[in-house]
Amino acid sequence: MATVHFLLVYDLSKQRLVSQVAFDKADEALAEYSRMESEHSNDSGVEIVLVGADSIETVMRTHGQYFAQTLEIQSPYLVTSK
Amino acid sequence: MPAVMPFSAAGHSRSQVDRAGDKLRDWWQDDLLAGPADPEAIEIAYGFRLEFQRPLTHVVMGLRSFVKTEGAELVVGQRLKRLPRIVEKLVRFRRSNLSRMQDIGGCRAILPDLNTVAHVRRRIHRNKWEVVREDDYNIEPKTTGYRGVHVVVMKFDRPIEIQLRTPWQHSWALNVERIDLRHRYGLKDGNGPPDLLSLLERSAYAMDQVNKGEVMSEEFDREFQRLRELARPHL
Repeated sequence: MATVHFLLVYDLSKQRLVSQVAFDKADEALAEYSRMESEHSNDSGVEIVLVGADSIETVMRTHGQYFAQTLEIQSPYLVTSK
Repeated sequence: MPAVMPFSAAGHSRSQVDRAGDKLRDWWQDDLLAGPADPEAIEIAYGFRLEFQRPLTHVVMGLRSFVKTEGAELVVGQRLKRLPRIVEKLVRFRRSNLSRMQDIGGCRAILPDLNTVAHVRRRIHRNKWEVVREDDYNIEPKTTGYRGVHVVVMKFDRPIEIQLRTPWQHSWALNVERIDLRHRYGLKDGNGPPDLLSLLERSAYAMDQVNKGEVMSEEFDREFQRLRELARPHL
């Protein structure tokens, strides 16, 4: 199964993803990852991350913190923000 | 005379990679606003990170097949460490070297239970991958409360970290990540308000116990509630 790479930009003040771009080719994804990171190297207001999986649905589970939708199991012992 | 094999595919020696890491560490510790980091150091670090992609992809392929063989749902993701996290880590571990960092390429599988975690872990060992490090945070949780199994294997001369988590362990970890995204405490690294850190540690403990079929005592629940109130202003 092919891996899709997603370049995510999370805005820390807005508290949400502001960009999500999918790449089929790893080298293109990596070049863009480094380019974006250096563009924002003095900007601590965003978190830029490149994650890969078979689909965005899987990324939403393995790296779910960047997504508004909570797909992970819940427990009364979890500490909820807000 | 044969040339000495460079350490990195981009032609850099190990000491060049380490020097770049040292420069980035110094830059981070000085005033960030004093100016941008040394562009050459950044280029070397990017080039070095790039080299983890191919080994990471291979390790993920293997990991996926192990998970599949166990009949578990395929929830496998991968990432190359963010440069700011790489530099933070160099700062946190003063004497560490960029060329020896073991989690630049990382992947994780969310597995249904501890039994499946043990099975997949066994398959990693049987696969003739050279295991260079193994941390069983199920037996000895991190002080933060983090639980999971981390295995570092060598592939094409590069270390790749594999994280194996159960759904509730993952849920707890994402919970911490979410709070950090909101408040930037650095909870993952053990930083932040002590009351919140205690609450999160107790949270992980309770989830572990419940997952093992235990019922938490009323006393525990009262104490947990008390901690929750103390930590509330920090959420």
